[in-house]
Amino acid sequence: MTRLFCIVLSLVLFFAASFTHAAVTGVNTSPSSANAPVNRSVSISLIWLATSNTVGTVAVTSTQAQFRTPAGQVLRSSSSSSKILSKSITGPGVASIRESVLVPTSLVQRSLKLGFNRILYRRSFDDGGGASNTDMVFYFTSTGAASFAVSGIALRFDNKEATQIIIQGKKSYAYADISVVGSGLIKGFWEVARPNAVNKKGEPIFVPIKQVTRYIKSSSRPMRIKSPTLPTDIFGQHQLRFRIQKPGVGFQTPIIRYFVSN
Amino acid sequence: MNRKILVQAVCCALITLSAPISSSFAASWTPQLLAPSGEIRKGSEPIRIQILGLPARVAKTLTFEVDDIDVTSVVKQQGDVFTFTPTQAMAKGNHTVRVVENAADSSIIERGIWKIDIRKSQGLRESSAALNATVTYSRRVSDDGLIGPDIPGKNQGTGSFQFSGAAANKNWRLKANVDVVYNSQTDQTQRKHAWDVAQFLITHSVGAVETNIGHHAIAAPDSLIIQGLNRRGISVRYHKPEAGFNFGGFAVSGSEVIGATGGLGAGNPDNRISGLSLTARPLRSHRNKLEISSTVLGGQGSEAGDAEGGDPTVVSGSAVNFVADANFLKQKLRIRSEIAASRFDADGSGNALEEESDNAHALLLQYTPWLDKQVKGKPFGLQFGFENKRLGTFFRSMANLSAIADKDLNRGFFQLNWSGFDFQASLGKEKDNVNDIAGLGQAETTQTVLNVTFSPEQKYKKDGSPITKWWGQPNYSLSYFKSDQKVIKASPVLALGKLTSTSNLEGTAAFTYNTWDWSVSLSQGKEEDFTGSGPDTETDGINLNANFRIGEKLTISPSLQFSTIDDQTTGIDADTTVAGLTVGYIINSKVNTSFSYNLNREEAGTDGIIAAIDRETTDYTVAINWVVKNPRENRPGLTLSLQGSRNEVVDSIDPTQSTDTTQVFLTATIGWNPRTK
Repeated sequence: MTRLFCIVLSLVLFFAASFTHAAVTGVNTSPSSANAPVNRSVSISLIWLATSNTVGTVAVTSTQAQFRTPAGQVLRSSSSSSKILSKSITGPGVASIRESVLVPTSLVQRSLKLGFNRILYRRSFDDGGGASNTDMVFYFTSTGAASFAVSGIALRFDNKEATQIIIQGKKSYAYADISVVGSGLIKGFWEVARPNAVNKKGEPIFVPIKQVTRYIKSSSRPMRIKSPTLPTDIFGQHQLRFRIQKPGVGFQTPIIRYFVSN
Repeated sequence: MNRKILVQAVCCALITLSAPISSSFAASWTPQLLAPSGEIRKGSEPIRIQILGLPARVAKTLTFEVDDIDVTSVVKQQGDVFTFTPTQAMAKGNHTVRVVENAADSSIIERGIWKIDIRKSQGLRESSAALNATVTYSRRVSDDGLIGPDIPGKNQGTGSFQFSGAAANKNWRLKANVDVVYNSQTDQTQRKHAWDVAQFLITHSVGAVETNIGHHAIAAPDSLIIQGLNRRGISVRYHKPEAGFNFGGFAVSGSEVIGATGGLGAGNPDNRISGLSLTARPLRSHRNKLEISSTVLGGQGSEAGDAEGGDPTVVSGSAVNFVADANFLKQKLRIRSEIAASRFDADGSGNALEEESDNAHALLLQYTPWLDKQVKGKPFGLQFGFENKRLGTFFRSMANLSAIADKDLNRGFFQLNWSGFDFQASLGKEKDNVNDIAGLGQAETTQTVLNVTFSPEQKYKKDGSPITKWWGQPNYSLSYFKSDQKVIKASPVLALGKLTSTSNLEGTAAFTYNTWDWSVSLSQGKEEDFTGSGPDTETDGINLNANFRIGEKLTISPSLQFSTIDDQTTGIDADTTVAGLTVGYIINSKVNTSFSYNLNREEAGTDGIIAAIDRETTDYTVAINWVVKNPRENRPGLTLSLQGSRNEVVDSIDPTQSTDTTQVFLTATIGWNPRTK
């Protein structure tokens, strides 16, 4: 009897340990889907919600992203450093990680030509104990009905060039031409990094000089947003950018440079 | 001799002698332009005209003109020579000199006309070269403990050099501009090179043929397939402006290129657009009545470049268009029509996707009932029109990648201006999924746009000085747009009915005084999402800007922006404040100071998924500058500066993101502007 009890207890403990093995137990996205046009690449923001049952401080990480058809064909797989997402949490808990995904129109059109009305963006999250994945669904719609998203941005100075030498005291400005699909609210900041301004990580310190909050809709011409007068009180190289805070963008914010001369 | 006969003879002689000599001299005299004193005629050289034996009475009736400007009042006569001495050197190139006689019968007789060539030298009609150079050395003398492998070194050199030159002779001209930049901290540069070319342009013209190499705008009219194409590359054109004729070819970079490694901009086949463009006004006797143009282009490139953000996928394609732009009813009615076609490969040639062919057209009707009309002594303008634009779903041009296609738009518009008042209104309806692709659905958008500006006329005193009320010279503007979208053809993800509704109202008032100005703008917007997939939001914003010059020494420029985004779905507000202050003070002719302050504050609640934000960034910069020597022509100047900056980030949600940095720099700046004459 006692021996049988020990065997049964061991089996129960063994299976109990299997069921409570530390791992990422589920992944969701917010939103669960979005609408993408078939003729433009767009950046769509989402939040990954990865649930880990690991006790204690744990890093929930995703190292690879895939675009797939609903039939499972992998259209593109990327594991570059820019695609790594990671967040430390105190588990068990949910790691909430924001990502802005650039949905390439080339992959959308390939999926469309294969007869599908959507494309899937898959990520797998692991906390070192086990992984789980989910797909963000991008449904294909007409251009006007697409989720509000930025397709591209181009920066220029008032001389229509991407660099400029400005005489100190002269009033100059820059502009950002932004292409969007759908309609919605755009929020961004014009930011300038002055000469020599670096933080403790050696990165240039970009200081906001103007905030832009505006409702816009897609048009055959991009929306032009003008900067304020550029600071010229200090000689040397300045770096300028228009950082779009909302909606998120899935590409690197371009930076243009101007020099203040005597 | 019979006394009577003698008297008659004397009278005849007197009558003959007293008759206007000009009428008899008129048939014979010809002025001569005297040669310059040297081998060539220079800009400040006096122009001398000799008229032998000219009677004084006739001299008073002469008019001397240079380039159609009457200069008679400054012409000096010494004997037979009439001399015009330019008050400032005349420009290089061809000029016209003319002598005209104002006859007694009020007729004007052109007595002489000459073309003169003002030149720099025998070999070149003109040549010039100039340099604008600024070199700065800075040393970080205090850095609040900035240490580590990623921190830039304490010493930094930067410089900017603008070279410009020009030469011309006979019927050719050459101009060159090159900007070169230097930064010893290569991590801060575009290409990680200390020295680099920022931009350049070389223009050579011979007669009607012009060649451009470098950064320039392509001389092709804006259309559905090309919009403001300004890139690095090469273009050649044959241009006859008097005939309205322009024909040219171009090869430029697909996306913007910065730096010397980009070469001439046309050498990389994966990033190059090339094409031909023709513009003509074929009606010889009515050049302004009709203009036709056509452009054909093709190439490869991407939406991501040195100054662009977007999809880095290399795409390729070609496009062609034809435009006819005509005026009728004495230029009151304008009709512009365009047809275009494109073939576009979204993943570049030779990859999985084939090229997609598609087309587009545009029609514009614009009517102005009155030209040059005045109402109560002020110009009155009225214009209304209609536009139809249809862009196929996959219509796309390499020279207009940023344009969003898939539209079938009908729009009516109206504009009125009078006495500083300008009113514009437009109402349009647009459908998408132009190619009717199965499964995508279709949305219809109705958009209303209103713009009103008012700039009261500036009044002046008798002495010419402006009359300014206590509120300054104002300028007001109000703009409103509303956009309503609905689904008119359902799809698996789109249900029939309302989609979104967006509106925005913004008003600005700006006031200008003699030595200061200020402006305020208010905005309010709203968006409703009827599908439940996106939030309903409302925004409010205020902007204040001012610029004061107090006396001769002090300038103050404050600015303040505040905006709030109210998410009606989650009930969370996001508030942003950006404030700035710049102060400049001139202590004396050699020493000046500047101070700038920037604040950015953001606050937003959390909905359980998106984290809360409570973050404040402040930035201070102070500088004192000593102008040791001002740069003078061909002599460099020197300025020494002491600069300090402090940057603080306070993150109340994640204190590990809080940081502060203080740095002090000593800098020396040399400015030099040598130039040839």
